[in-house]
Amino acid sequence: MRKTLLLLVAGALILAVDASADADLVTRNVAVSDSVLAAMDPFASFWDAAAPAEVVAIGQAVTTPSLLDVPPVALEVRGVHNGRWIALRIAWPDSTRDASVEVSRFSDQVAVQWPVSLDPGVSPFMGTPHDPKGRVHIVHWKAIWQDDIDHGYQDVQTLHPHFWSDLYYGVDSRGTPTRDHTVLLRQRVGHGAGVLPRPLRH
Amino acid sequence: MTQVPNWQLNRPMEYPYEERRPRRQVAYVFDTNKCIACQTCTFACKTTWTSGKGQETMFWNNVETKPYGFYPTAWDVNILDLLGSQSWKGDKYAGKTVFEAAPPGERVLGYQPDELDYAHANLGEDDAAGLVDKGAYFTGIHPVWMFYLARICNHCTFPACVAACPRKAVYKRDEDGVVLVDQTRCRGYRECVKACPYKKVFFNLVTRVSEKCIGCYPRLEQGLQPRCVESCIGKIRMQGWLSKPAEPRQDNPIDYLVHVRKVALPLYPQYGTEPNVYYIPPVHVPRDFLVQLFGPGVDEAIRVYRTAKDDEKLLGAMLLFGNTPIILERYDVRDGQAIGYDGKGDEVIRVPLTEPIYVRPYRDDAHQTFRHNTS
Repeated sequence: MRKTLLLLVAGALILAVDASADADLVTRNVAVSDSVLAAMDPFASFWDAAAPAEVVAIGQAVTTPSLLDVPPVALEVRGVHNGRWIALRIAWPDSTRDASVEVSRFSDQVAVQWPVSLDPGVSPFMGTPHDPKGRVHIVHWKAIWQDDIDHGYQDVQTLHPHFWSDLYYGVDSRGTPTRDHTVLLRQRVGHGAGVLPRPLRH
Repeated sequence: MTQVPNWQLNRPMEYPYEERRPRRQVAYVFDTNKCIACQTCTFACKTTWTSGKGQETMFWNNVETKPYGFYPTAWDVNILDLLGSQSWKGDKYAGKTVFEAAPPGERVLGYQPDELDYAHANLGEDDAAGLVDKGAYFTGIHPVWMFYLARICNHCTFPACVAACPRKAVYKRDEDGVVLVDQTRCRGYRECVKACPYKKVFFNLVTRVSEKCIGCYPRLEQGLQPRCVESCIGKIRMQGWLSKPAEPRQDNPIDYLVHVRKVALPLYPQYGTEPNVYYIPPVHVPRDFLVQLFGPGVDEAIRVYRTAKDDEKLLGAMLLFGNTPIILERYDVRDGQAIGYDGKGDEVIRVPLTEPIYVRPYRDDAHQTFRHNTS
């Protein structure tokens, strides 16, 4: 299964993905409607005009707890803008859909970091402390948050459908389609999908 | 990692932060010999703090039946297995703590329980330590044993949850040593849940952040003992302030039991967090098991405990358990009574060392009836 995520950031036009030297990651100015909704269709034809860039996930050893053993996941990133907003389409292979709030499980998620200024000295490691020019914004998407948007807040009864009488461990809803996405991608091709409109502020 | 002194291990140990003991440290003494697992403490806590949605299987206070009862399931045996050999050379710990045994890239050795581990509080409670052989009879020593272990957050001096949190959302208060999770700063990474060797930090699936026993700090601030202590019908608990290891006060009942007489011992001191709930060990349980739970001071603690009936000062400290909701900061024993004082120095409780016996006539002339002893 391939997971596709759409990140839409409106209000500013600064894009300096960590791999700023990678020309493929610079967004293209595409002619689309001013409507934000126009960018929310991940299969709109203008996405084909944006060159895909591959971002390979690497381990994290800068601080503890570190994550050293990372499966070789490559993210395909496409970016577009129209002078007023930026949209990123991020896709990666994933055999499972994880959006549970169980204590021992974690949600699918991805984040994009944006420098607030164009200063080339901004640290890629979550910004430069105590430097106003070194600030970054982090746009964070989680599958569980997407479910909150699509289906209402994921609550105890989501995990335990018979919550009102008991939790009934062993007959929970795991594996049932009660929490599937109903957004566009699933309807079309059976993929999970996310849309995160979030303003980018200076 | 830095070196900090851990008096329970009798040696320095590694910890991610410098030693910073609070101005005063909340501490508890639990007498396991008196606990009957009525769970009144559990529900006093539950109804006060964790009755909300998302807290259905969350017990900041629980009472589990040892050796095979757990909450969450297998919590301590899991950590013991991970930790490997835990030997003591005399009163000095020769093994590794959860900080010293941390895997590369992590600050604490731990594991993440599964949701089902919290589903059945005290699973295994009906399993005693062995089978009763056919024809066996009681000879004065119990071949098959169990006991009740009441547990709350230990408000450790070197908390593993504090060490593990990458956001510094968990902190230890300077005014009372209570360890808290800042609910606005926590992002629900669950590093604290994984790190706490006592598994006393919990993930709330509704708030999606972690939470834990708060030591009833709103009560502490009013000079009152926590709900679990106040409600205990077996009077097995006392909460007070534990002085720093080198500064014990003879007239502080908690100091006297922990530092002076060493009759109350920390739970799994080998974890290295310097926990501040101290247990008077059960006298009938095999020593090997107790040493694993409470460290090498078990034999001496039980010996001292057995002398309490002839030791007025020790007996007096124990008799103050559960007889007042007010935190006792000083006590005295005189004229056959244990007298407790609050933080202002005012007397708040007076308990006789020996319960007075009243003998009433069998015949009640005033009511023209006979009295029957039905108790």
